[in-house]
Amino acid sequence: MEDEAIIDDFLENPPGATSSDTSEATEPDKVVDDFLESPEDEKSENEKSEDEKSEDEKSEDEKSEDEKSEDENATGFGFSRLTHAFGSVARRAHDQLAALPTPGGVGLLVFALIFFVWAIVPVSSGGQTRLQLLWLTLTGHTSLATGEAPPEQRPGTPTTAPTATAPTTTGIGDGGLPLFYANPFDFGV
Amino acid sequence: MPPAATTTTDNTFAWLLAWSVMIVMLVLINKTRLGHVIIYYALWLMLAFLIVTQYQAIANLLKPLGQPTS
Repeated sequence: MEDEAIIDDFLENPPGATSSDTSEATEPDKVVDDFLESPEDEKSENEKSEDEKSEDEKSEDEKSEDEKSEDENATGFGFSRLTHAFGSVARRAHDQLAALPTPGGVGLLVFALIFFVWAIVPVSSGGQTRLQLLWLTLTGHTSLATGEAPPEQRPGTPTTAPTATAPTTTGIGDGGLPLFYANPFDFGV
Repeated sequence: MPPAATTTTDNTFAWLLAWSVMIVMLVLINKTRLGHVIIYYALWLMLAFLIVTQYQAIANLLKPLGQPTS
């Protein structure tokens, strides 16, 4: 009979349940609210105290390190002070440089450089640049040099053209003969 | 004449490889905030130096083609 009484007491008052607020504690909304408000309630007090202790120790260590560095900075020209000052200056310089405007972008400047190189570097045997050769070609003062015609009959052949090697050439891939012969003094008048 | 151990193909390959590596590095640098600014103003500097040092060639471009270049 004593066993039955113990079992009845256990079923009526299970461990962990409060005697007065059992109806409120079993409501699902209440349980969810309690869980959301304090998810760490499952931790025991011992664990909490250990965590608090470790946090306190950490904060004390940090404080002591800060105090040490402050003391070092205050007493002498410490390495940390130097690196901190240099870092702040470098960071400020980096931010100011990186904030400079770049109107037009890199592509415009690359195009301008390529254009100037294209315009001023002489490439032909007559000393003309690619821009001059393009202009002479557009105005009809150049012609393709083939190996079929004798060199002296080529239109616009300069006087300094390599005529000695011309008769043996095929015009393509023979190496050494310029493809264009442009005479800048020939204006067709 | 290249040395006997190397060929012109090797030299060409090395040349192309070096330029490819340089271009890739410049593109990667250009993707950063500070690198973009540095490359931008370095290109302006290069353009200014090119115009200053090659002013004679640029002036010859402006002359009529009949006149002899200096």
